[in-house]
Amino acid sequence: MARAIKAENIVAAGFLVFAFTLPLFKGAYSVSMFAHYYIVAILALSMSLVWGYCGVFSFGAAAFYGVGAYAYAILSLSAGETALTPLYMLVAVLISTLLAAVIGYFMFYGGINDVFVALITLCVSLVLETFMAQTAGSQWSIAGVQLGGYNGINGIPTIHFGNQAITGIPFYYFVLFILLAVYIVLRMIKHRKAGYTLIAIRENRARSLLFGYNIEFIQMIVFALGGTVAGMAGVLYTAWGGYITPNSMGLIQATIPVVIVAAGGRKNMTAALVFAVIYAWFTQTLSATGSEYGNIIVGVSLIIAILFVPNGFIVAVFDWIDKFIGWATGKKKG
Amino acid sequence: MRTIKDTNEETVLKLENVSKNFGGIQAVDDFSFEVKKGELRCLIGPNGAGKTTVFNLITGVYPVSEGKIIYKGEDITKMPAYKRSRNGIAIKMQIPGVYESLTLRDNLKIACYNFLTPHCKRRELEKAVDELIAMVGLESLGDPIVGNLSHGQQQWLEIAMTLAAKPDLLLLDELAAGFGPEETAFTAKLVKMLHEQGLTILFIDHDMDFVREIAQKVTVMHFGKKFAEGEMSDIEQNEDVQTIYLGRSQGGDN
Ligand SMILES: Nc1ncnc2c1ncn2[C@@H]1O[C@H](COP(=O)(O)OP(=O)(O)OP(=O)(O)O)[C@@H](O)[C@H]1O
Ligand SMILES: [Mg+2]
Repeated sequence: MARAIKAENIVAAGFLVFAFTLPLFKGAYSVSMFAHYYIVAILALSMSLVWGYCGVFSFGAAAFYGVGAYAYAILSLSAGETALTPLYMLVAVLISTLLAAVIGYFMFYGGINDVFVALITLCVSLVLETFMAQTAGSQWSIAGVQLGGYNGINGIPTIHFGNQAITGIPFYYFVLFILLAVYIVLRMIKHRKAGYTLIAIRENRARSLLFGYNIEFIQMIVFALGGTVAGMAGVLYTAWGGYITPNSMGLIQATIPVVIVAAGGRKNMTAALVFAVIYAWFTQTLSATGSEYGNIIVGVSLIIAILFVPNGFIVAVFDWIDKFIGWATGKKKG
Repeated sequence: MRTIKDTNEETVLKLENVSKNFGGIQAVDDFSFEVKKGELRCLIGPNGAGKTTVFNLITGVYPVSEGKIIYKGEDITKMPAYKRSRNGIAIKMQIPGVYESLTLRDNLKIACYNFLTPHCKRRELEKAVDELIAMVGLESLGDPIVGNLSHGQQQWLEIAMTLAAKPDLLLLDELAAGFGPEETAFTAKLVKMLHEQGLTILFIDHDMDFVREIAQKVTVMHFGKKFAEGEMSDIEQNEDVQTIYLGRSQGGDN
C-alpha cells in the first residue's frame, strides 16, 4: 500500500476539523441535530464492521439498537438515580452485546450464513418491534416502567456526570467522542494484521477455513462487537431524545444502515461514517423544509448510486481524489 | 501408530477404513491407506472416484461417515478443520482457492497470518511474503489484483499460500489441470524441489505424464475404494488399472 497521503485521510481530517468547530458557527438546534446524525453514523459503523469488513450481511443492528435503547430507558427510569446513568449506559450496551453474541453463536455454529443470516436477523428485529408495539396495557411493565406499546417510553433522562445533565454542546461532544472512539478502534482492527482475519472471512470462508481461520468463532465475535456498537447508538439516541418507540427496531431502522453503508462504500469505514452524516443531514433538511418528495429524492439517488457505483459513492470520490493527487504530483515530478 | 514392519519409517497420515456417503452416494467406501514421512504419493482414479472427497475428509471440510484418520500419531477424526490446518495440513484445492479481488501480497498475508508468531512485526510479515513469492518464481509480477493473473500464476500463487503454513503434509488437487507443456514442466520441477526439501506430499492428478514425472508411489481409487497401490511403473503395467481408465483421454482437464 502506498505511503502517500490518501483522500480517505484528508476527508477524515476535514471531518474532524468540521466536527470539533461546529458549535462555534452553528446554533443550539443545529448542534443538537448533528449529535443525532453522529448517532446514525455510529449505527452505520456497526453495519460497516459486520457486513463491510466481515461479510456478514445482517439486519440485526436495528434489534441491538432497540434493545440497548429500551434497556437504558428501563434502567434509568426504574432506578431513578441519574448519577448512575453512565453505568446504565454500560449495562445496556452489555445487554446488546450479549444478545448479539447469543444470536451469533446459534447462527454461526449452526452453520447459518449469507441470505439466511439476513432473514433471521430481520425477523429478530421485526419480532422485537411487533412485541414491543403490543405492550400498551398496564400489565406490561418492567421494574415499574410502563413499556407503552406503540407510543414507547418517554421522559428518559439523558446521561449525567455526577449531578450534571449532559445536554446541548457537552452532549454533542460526548457523542462525537464516542463516534471517534468507535471509528478509531474499528480502523485499528482493519489496519492491524487482525484485519486480514476479517477480510479472509469476507472474501472466501471455505478457503480461509483451510488457512487455519476459526470462522464461526470470529464471525460470532465480530457480530457481538457489532451489537456493542449498535447498542451504543441506541442508548445515545434514547439519551438524546428522551424517548424510545418500537419503530427503533422496525423495517426502516433495519434497512437504513444497510442502504447508507452500501451507497457510501461498505468496505471503507470513513466512507460509511461520512455518508451516514450526509445522509442524515440531507433527509432531515428535506423533511424540515416540508418537501414531501424528500424521501423519494433520497431513495432514487441511493438506487442510482448503488447501481452505477457499486463500490460506494464516497469510495468513488476517494478514488477520484487519489487519482487527481497522483496525477498532480506525478506532473510536478515529471 | 507404527506397524512393526516399518518402524524406521514414520507415518504422517493414516486412513483406517474411512467411508463417506452423501445421501445415497457412497463417495468413499472403506478406504485405508498411509502416507509416510518424506513421501511423494499420487492418488489417481477416474472422474468421480472419490479422490477430492478423500482430501476433504483429511482437511476436515467434511466429517467422515465411518473410520478413523490418524495424523502424526494423533487421532484427528473429530478435530475441526481450522485446527488441522494449524497442525500442518495444507491444501491446494481443485477449484482455484485464491482471493481473486485482493492483491497478490494480501493473498499471501492472509495465508501467513495464522502461522506467524502472534506479535511479529509488520516487517517480518513482508519478509515472509517476499520469500514465498521467490519460492514459486513470481517476483516479477509486483502486487497485482489476483483475479487478473493467468491460470498458471494463480495456481503457483496458491502453492505459495499453502507453503506459508510450513506444512508437514501438503495436499495438491489437480495442480497441472489446464496447463500447457511448459507450465506443466515448471510445476513438476517445483513439486520435486519441495519434495527434496523434505516435504511430505500427497497429490491428485489425471495427467499421466505429470504423474510419471514426479510420483514415486501411487494409490489408485475406483468407486470410492482402493483399487491398486504400488510403484508408478508397476501401476502403469497393471491391466485392470488400464481398463478402468479406458475411454477417458489422458491428460484431460475437468
Ligand atoms: N458435497 C457433495 N455432495 C454430494 N455428492 C458429492 C459431494 N462431493 C462429492 N460428491 C460425489 O462424490 C463422488 C466423488 O466425488 P469426488 O469429487 O471426490 O471425485 P474425484 O475423484 O475427485 O473426481 P474428479 O477426478 O472428477 O475430480 C462423486 O459422485 C460426486 O458427485
Ligand atoms: Mg476431484
